[in-house]
Amino acid sequence: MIAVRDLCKRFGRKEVLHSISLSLGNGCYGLLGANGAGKTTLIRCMAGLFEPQKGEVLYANRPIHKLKGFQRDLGYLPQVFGMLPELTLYEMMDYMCSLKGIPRSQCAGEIAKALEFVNLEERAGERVRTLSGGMVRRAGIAQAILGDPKVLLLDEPTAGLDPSERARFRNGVRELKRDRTVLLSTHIVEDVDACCDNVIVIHGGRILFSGPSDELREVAVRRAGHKGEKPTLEDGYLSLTQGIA
Amino acid sequence: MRRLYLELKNQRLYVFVPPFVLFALLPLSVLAGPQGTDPSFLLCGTLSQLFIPSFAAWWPLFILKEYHSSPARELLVVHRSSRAELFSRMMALWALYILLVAVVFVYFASLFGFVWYLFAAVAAQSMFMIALGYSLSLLLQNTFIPLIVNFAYSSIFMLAVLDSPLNIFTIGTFSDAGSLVKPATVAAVAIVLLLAGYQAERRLYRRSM
Amino acid sequence: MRLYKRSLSVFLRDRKLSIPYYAVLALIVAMSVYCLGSYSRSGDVFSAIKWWLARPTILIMTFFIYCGYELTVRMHDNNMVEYVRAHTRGLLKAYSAVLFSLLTIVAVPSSMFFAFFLFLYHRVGVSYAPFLVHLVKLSVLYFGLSPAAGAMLGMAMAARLRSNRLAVYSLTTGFMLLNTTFTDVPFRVPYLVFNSYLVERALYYIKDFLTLVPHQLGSHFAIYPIYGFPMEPVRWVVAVFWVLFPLTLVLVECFTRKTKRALLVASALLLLLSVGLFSVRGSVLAMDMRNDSYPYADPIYYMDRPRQDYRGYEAGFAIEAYRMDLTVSNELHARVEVTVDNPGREGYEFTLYHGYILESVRTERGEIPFTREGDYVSLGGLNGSDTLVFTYYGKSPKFYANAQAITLPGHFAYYPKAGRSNIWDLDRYGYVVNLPPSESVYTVEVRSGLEVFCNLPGGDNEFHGRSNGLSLFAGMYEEVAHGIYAEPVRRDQPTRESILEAERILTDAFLRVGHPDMVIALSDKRFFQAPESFALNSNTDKTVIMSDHIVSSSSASGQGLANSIMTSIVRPWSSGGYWFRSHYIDYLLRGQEETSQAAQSEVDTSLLLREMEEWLLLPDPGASFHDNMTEEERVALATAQRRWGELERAVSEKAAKYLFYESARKQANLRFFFDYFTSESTDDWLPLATARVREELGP
Repeated sequence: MIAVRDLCKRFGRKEVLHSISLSLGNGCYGLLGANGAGKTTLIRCMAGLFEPQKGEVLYANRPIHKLKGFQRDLGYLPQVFGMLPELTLYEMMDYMCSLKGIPRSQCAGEIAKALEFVNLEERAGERVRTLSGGMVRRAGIAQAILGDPKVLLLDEPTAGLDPSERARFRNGVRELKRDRTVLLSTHIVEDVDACCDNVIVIHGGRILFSGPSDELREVAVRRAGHKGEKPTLEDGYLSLTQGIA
Repeated sequence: MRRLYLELKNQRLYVFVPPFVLFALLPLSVLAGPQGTDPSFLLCGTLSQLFIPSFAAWWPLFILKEYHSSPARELLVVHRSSRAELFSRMMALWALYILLVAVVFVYFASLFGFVWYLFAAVAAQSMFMIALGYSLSLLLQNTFIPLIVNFAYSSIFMLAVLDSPLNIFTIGTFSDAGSLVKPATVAAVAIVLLLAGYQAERRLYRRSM
Repeated sequence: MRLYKRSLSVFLRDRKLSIPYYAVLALIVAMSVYCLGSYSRSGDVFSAIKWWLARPTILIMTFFIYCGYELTVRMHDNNMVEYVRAHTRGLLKAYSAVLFSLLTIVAVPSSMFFAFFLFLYHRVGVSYAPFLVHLVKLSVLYFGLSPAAGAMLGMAMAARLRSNRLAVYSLTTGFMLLNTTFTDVPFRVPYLVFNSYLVERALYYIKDFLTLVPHQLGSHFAIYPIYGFPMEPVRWVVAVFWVLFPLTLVLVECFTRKTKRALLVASALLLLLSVGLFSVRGSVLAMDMRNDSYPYADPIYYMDRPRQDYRGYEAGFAIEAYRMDLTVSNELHARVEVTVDNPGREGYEFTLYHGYILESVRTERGEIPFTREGDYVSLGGLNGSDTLVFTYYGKSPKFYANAQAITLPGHFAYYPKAGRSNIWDLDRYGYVVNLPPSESVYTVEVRSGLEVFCNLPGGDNEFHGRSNGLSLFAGMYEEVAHGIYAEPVRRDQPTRESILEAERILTDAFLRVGHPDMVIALSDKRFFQAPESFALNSNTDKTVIMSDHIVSSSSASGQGLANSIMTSIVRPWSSGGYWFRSHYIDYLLRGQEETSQAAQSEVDTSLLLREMEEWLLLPDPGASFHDNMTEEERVALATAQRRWGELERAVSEKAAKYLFYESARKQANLRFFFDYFTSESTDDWLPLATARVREELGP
């Protein structure tokens, strides 16, 4: 449903993304990579925040900058997320509904659904400034899923979440991925392992691997000669990247 | 002192605003009297009181800004070497500023003779403005409003409302020790404001986080 | 709507914003009360508004810069911009919500001011529609657009500078100081220290472009009712610019690609257009300390030029008729057809104030060459033609003509006058009243949005008649009684009774001094009350009497008017003996009437004579000064200056009282000194007075 074709992005003289090509359909894709690999830049390009020097991002086979309906179908959680501290959580969600163009009649239902998804429904009437860091992050996930978007781009969604909330999040993604594209950019390999069927490994602005999670595990077996227990996704990832290193 | 130096360096080019005012704007303005006449000490006194106290709070407020609204504020507050570090910072900045003012007054002394009563007056006024900015910023957890108040105060009481009991400035010749009565009162009020700010600073962590 | 409500909630719930806001609203109420109180005490509505409302406006503007910045920047501080921008027009919607919230916040105090001005109009009780319109415009420009511009600036700084508070604080401080008289002395530095007039003009150009509210904090100049608060078209242009330009900077942040580029181009065009319009602003009232200002422009101009004395200059020709086509828009644009009585001369000299740029001089045969030298225009022969057409445009800093008001008195060379005559008297520090000896026929058409009042008969801004000077006034100005023109909002308006009283007093005075030929039929002339600002930079033209009208800025009482007229007649070229002359005029005009002087004891004549003789021998302190004086010489000079000052006031007062009130020969003394004051004598008055006192007292 969303595809990246030969994408190149440069900041000044520094080339951050080199000819990235991807095609993502329904399902959950984990985006793995080291610090500075280009994950956030790729996600921002896919969200339409950055204009690439070369290549394009396509949604339903059309470039996103020419497609007026793309942002309506997009849910985005940035790496650094914040909210207006003076508003209540409900008001902030309402603010986001308005930005997303969700009709007023549907807002209450959407907000309730989203807050339930992240287990924050009891905090709806509280001011944002009273929420902990983890709760703010969960609220960020909630705003991303408002309006039932078809494409979810989540950058470090579980950063700051406690283990129970992370588990809850993973369960939720498993539900969500059925009929939409979810791209999860994270350092936490267990999250990718738990809920993503497909993995994309990016290193130095290039795609090292893109495919089913099982295939990445096989890399560990093939390259590292992994023996014994079934290799994890992390083993596969490390085998891939250490090879480069 | 190292921290103070780095905090001043953090202000980049803006750190040079007070020295520019003291070493360029003020002396040139004092010299800008009617053509063919000598510089006037009365004008010097007026301009010194207009410029010097106004910009005394510049460095302090820009440093205080970091404690209120910079991304590093949590670290700055947590890693304060004492609960009165900001208070010490204010006094150090006042001393540094007055040192620069003294250099300017050495030049004025070459023009007008004895100028040190006026120097004492502007030193007291500068302390007042710094104290006002310090205590307001800690009270309001904001540096923008104290900055506006600082320049508004100088503008109102030096340009418009000259005779008011709230006015710390004096239009006069500063020719004798009697002219130091008001500055002494101003210094006393400044100390009260500093103490109020000090009390607010001690509670800074609890209030700001 | 929801975003707008949320943004407003953010503002109202944040105590750092809402509490200062409520404090500002309370302050506005307090200032309005003080304004009303000030008006009730003084009766001067413009002064009250200026002192209590207009001058502090920059502080209100700065507060709204703070509001605009803090409300907008929290999206950046809370890392919201990235995900807001990911939505369709997300950032535009968010910023629009903030913008409308800010406009709502600004609208509250603006409405308060508007309501207050309506109330004030009712309180003043002058049924004069232009004054009401003026107050409404004032509330929109000074108290509506200006705070809105502040909020827009704050918003633009947040959108562009984001969390770079150092830059924001610095810009705000600079903006605030540039809108006060803080800059008065530093801006003098280029001219007074470095002799650079151009740099001073450049600095004031920048300052003017940033000034939304003239009569800034620190300004002590009054507001004169004919003009009111400066609201020329250029000020509206500047205000609208400072609302729209920051808005375009904000919009640039909301878009990408083509739209962003288009907005950048639009911003640049807006800037260029505004700067362009600002540069042709023309005649604007500048009441401040600059060299080009109302009070200082002409004194400084003439002080810097070589002295030229054209007293007694014979033009060699007279102007029989003027046909004037005047357009008053941003400044005066004139086409003046002049018919001379002596077309056969080889050369002609005219006086036209240097502020008017002469484009061409034509006869019916075509353009003729001319030389422009300051206030003077020199032409060669007219090739048999007796009619010249002068085409010019320009302005005078004091005698302004623009879309807001016109004050062009007939004694001022705003149209070509025959011969060379001085416009400014350096000795007396004032404008020379130069009136031609004979009348001319004037046919005048004035194109202006204002109703123009003229000494000549006519209406609808068209006038025709004979006079020796053409005076034009417009603005908040009316015919308040038949043949009497004044500022309706001004407290001290002249009346028919006061003019008649002045005429009676003057007639009596002229008869007593044996000059019935000098009696003036004041009541037969039209009377134009000039703004009090005429006296701001001139000692000489407070009252000018022309063949068919009088222009006077004096007080409305008959005594005051008579005093002013007599002052203009007595010793027009003399600069000395100010106090003695003032007392002389007092005694001359009050006649046998008891004055406050009479309540005091009689003059000790022997002491008076001793003091007069002491003063005669005292050297002029000004002449004794030199650069290389010793400390003893300085002390001695200071002592002499003090004594001089004491004697000047005391001797002048006592000598006048004795000679013109107590003396048995007081009528003779009055006649003697009248002849002295109206002669061209350069003798000092003191020896003359001393001799007369000595003579009366005997050996």
